[in-house]
Amino acid sequence: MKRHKTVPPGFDVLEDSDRGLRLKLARSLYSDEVIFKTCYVFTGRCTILLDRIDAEHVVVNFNGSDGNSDLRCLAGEFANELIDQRVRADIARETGSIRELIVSQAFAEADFSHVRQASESDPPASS
Amino acid sequence: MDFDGRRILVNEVGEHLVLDNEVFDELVEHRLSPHNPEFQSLKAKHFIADSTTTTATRLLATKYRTKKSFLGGFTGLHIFVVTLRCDHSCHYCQVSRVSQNRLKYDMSRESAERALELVFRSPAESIKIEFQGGEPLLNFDSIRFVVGEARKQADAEGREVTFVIATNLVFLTEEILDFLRDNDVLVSTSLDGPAHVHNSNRPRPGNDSYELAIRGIERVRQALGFERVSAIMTTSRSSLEYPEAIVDEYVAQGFDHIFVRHISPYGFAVRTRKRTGYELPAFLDFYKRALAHILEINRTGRFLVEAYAQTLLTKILTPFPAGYVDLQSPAGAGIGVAVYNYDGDVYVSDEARMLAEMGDTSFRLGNVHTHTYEELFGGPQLRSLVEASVIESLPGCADCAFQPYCGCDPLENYVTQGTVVGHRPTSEFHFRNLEIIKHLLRLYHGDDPFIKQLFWSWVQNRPVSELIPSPPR
Repeated sequence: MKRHKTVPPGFDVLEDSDRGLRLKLARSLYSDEVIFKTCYVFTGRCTILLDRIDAEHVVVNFNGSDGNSDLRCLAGEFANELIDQRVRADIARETGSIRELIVSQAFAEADFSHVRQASESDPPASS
Repeated sequence: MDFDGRRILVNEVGEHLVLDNEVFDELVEHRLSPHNPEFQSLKAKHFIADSTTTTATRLLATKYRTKKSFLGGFTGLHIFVVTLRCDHSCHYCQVSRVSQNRLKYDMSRESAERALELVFRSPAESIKIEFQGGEPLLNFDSIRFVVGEARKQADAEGREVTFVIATNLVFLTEEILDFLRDNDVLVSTSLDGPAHVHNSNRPRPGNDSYELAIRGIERVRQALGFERVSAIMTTSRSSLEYPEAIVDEYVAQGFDHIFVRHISPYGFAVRTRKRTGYELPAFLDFYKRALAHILEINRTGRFLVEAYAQTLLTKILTPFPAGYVDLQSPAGAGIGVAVYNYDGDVYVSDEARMLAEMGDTSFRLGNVHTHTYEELFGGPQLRSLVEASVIESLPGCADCAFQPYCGCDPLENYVTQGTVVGHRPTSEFHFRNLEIIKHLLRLYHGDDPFIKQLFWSWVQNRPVSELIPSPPR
């Protein structure tokens, strides 16, 4: 993955200063779920605060401890991760029902007759 | 997941494929031509299907059920901490050991009896009882009692029971060796490397831990059989300079398995962390150097397995569970393994016991004298721990391509990050496994065909020469 030394072109930068980096993301491209999952990946490397400036956009505020040059590099990785998370979300939506079917079928056909039976005093399965 | 400039795909049951980015883009955009050579690979690995039959889903369901088959037996490994007494003062020790003469830290017969009752409430057809300490041979009477009673109970119920004793071998006697032989007890001991590494890690009066271990290994082999003793190592800071020498020591002592193991953040290891601890990159470098040396040793025809790689490769290359409690979902703490302490307290793992010794009893399930089996193994405490270790639902893990290969350690999360769920972006467990899995996959998909054969030989636990008609060139 190419490391961007500056914020990649096309990124809507609201602020790039000593106070941090602020990027505006279109919710038409990235759902809230995708944005949150992407932010989660980076919470180990910087402080992130999300804000909504209007119904169509989310602002991601990056604050790092090592100065803004690292944040600009990080923004490039953030951009790639957004795409990865968006693709994962799309695939999950397309294949979710099949994956649920597989797991349901796996346990529906399970044969526990060889497993020693639980005693009558065991607690119920759900609490 | 990005994989060195390409893409690695992993499906629900762990089958994987590496694709060029262009092919991946065509796939996710539903533009991939059936004439593309990768199309057949994707079909073979069940990433795509162009049939209206249910064959693929039934096959995947079978593989998924196989991967989770460990759940049926529930608790199979039962650890009896028969004493806290020990003669060693290992820097990385997870145990809050006491000196040899403090008999009040021995497991009583009553506690052993009650613990055995609980052991045989487990539905597992095959039960393993492991004796730990301190140094368990310092309470040999308890071991003799548990083995005898467990065997009677297992025979009466038609179940299989096996025994392992984790010992430093210092207190072996002919009587003990005869007993171990007559009762098919396996022996596990520590061997951290050549003498200067081992003795540095494991001080004792006389500074002769290595010499005693080697002598003990030889005695066990002569009395019980060559294959009846295994060794494990712990990587401390002083080990980091000597990955090749440590591997060579295992070869010299005739072992065909070595578990290149990182240090755990529990017990005395916490207190001595400044002396024994290390950062993750240092351990990963150590691991890769050790693994490279192991691969070269295998290339000469000497069969030698790295046990952690073997576990991961079993999960990567087969649908079978690997039987390693930290690499399963839900984690094995409490459901795959249970620990019965000398005082009757029951814990979800040895690490939980160590936390209790340090004053934190969060993972103590109860006591054999005051709690029923249902309260210990069906209560809300264990249920919530299990819930927190289902990686299919954990942040970060739920979306990870390597989820079918990985697991979690809720106690390591708790100790290092403050919660059992943990925080993946800062988790050493996450980064350690991520990098080792990637490293193994890089080797497997690299240009060296011997590596692929060798990894399959590790999965099957037999030399390469027994996998193919002729030795590799």
